[in-house]
Amino acid sequence: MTAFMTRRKSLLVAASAALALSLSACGGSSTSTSNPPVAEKPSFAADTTMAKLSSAGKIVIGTKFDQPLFGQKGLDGKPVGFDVEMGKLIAGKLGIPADKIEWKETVSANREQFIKNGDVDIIVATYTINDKRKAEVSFAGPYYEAGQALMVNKDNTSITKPEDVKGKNVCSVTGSTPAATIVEKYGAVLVPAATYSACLEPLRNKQVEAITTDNVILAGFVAKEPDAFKLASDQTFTKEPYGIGLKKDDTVFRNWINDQLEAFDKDGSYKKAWEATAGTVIKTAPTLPAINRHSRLSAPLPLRQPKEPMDVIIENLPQYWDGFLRTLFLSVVSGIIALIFGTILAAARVSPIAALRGFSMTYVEIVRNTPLTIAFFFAAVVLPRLGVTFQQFEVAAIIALSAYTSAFIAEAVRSGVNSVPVGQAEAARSIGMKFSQVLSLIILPQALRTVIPPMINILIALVKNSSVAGAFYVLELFGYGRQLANANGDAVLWVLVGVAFFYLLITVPLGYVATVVERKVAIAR
Amino acid sequence: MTSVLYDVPGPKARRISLIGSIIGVIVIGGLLVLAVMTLAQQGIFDPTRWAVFQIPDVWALIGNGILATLSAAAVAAVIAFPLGLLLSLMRISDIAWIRIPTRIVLEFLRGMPVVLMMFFVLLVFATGSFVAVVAGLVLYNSAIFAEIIRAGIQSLPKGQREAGLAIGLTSFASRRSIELPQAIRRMLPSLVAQLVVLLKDTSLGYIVSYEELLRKVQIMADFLGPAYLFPVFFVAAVIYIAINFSVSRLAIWIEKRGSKKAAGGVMHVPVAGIPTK
Repeated sequence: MTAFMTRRKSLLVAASAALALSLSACGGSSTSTSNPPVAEKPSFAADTTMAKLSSAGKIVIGTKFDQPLFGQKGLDGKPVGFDVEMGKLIAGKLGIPADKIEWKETVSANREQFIKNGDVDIIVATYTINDKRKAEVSFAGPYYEAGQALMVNKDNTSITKPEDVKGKNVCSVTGSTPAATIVEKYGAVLVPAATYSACLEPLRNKQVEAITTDNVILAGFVAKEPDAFKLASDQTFTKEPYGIGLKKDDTVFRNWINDQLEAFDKDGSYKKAWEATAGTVIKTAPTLPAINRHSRLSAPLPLRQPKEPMDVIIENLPQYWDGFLRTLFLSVVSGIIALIFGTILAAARVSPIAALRGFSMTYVEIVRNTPLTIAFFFAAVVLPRLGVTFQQFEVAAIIALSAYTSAFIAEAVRSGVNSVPVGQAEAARSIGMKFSQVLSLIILPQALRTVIPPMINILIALVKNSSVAGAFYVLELFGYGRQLANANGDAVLWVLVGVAFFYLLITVPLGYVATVVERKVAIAR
Repeated sequence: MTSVLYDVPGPKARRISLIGSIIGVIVIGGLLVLAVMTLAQQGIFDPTRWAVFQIPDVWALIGNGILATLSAAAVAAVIAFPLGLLLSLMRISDIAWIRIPTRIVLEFLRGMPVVLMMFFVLLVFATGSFVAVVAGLVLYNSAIFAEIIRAGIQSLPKGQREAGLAIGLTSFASRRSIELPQAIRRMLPSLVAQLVVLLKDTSLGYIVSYEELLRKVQIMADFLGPAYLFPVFFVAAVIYIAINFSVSRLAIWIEKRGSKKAAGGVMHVPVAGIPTK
């Protein structure tokens, strides 16, 4: 595959007048209305999947909503892209018009599960055919062949091949196949993100050296910002044949889709679908790859002993342990900072100086009412823009977590201050103590004692909140869990039980401490 | 406004306080201006970037997002609260074989990240994303509600329950008609605060690709291009803060109203902007 995008510079500089125009140029609204021909009353042998879908008159297709050029949700709520067009074409052959298709967003982790449970009828979602997946689902196609590539900043000359990223920060999506390849084969340091587009900001801020995934996805990003990014090389270093996922061993349906794909190629609708979507930026039109008609695996899978369910946990213990330590580290550091900062905020909240009170209140009100994900967004994406740069994303995570948690600590301490009987403060003042003395010697010690149980609850919440860091470039326990869940589609339950166990290893003892403290230290009333 | 924590400030203290306030405002204001200027230099306040908000579709998407956020939160709250109430009573039950298993379950639920529960429900029970989000929120928040209510009941003077039992009420009747009403009133601020947490936690639905406000905004930013990332996120943050702030205000209003009736002496610490009594 060679890639090739137009230098359509205009997109980002487009003035507001040109906005609507530029939107449709990014593969948007104009294609979303495309309606491929719908077959009139197609007939199928009874009891086939085709017959069922056709007579039901509707189909559920899983696709991605965040994959530029292939499957991306437009402003009108409908997905657009090459995958989407393929889905429409197939539905059309079943006699189902485009508006009767229900699009379901699939993420990399749940595609096999969605097919197995019948949540979707087919999946067209940049879905690479591989042996591991073939053990769970069947694939029609391939209908396109992509390959993994690297995208770097425009001015980068040091990275031209995958071997160049050894030991460097490379961003990719948690648990995705490209992420595993770049780490295991080429020794890169993975910076995990929730979506590929979330990788753009760290690359722009030079916190990562490269982004890696399939070339077509990267080409989409380059096409949108040709002045900022480029592909490290036109060569790809893996082959990613995209297939259409369907229920395992539904051979009749599979063969039928394969026939349709070949027909689309012949009648030109394959080419048309490409030109309307990905072809707007990738000029080289693809040819339909040779359809893989036998469901045989490319190499026999190593004979797997029927495994005990717990095995997946034991096998991956080192990864769990690493994730556990990372989560512990994030929680302990953020917890200490939050405790100190939160207590200071609470003291400021009751202080005689109006500005301190005002600051404390504003801070607590804003932070308490902001979702943690937005706090993370500001720490990881906006702060670097303000000149606060860091190479370790743990710093951003700690900033977000401690800034967020300290607001809750402040509130807990304040309510503790409220719970100290009035007489205590009055007595302290009547023996001549100053505000700082009243607060630090009389009120806060008593207040902290009553708030220890709620405070520990806040710390428990902090431990769990650290799991959000997984979506913001930090690898931790939950991130490992997602990776393992992806790699072990057949043992998801136990993978997640393992993750839960390691969280409980931190949170249950904390909860126990809370109970003991509550019993021993709290003032009896 | 007087406080028991410190004397009514005299002229000197007032002056010091005023100077302190002015310096504080200047420092914080200065930092903010610096931040805004740095961002402005990068063209973030360029009018073209904000022009997206002239597109009706953008607002339709945001509106759908708000609706999805609110509906998930509302359904979760309506299920979680009664469940929490029940769990709290079971947690302090006199019967050991109810109390102890409940405690274990609560410890377990309290100790698990919400994202993990959502992910678990989605993958293992293969539900839709809405159910996964609601289930994750219910599991976690009912445990927290239970803990809050339990703390409220146990913070009541012992005499309340003793008196209830002494006049011949059954254990449950005493809980229901004497302890719970006081406990819930006492804990209302915490309960409403937890409601805000629940509302915010809907944003964790990204993990199961539930399209609430934040996910919608993300999809929109992906579609429009990175230049619009900051504007759309900024608007989302403002919307979140506005919604949650209203709920928090409600909490403060309830706290104020409730504290008049609260049992025992509650010390009133002045809070800027909110006159206590």
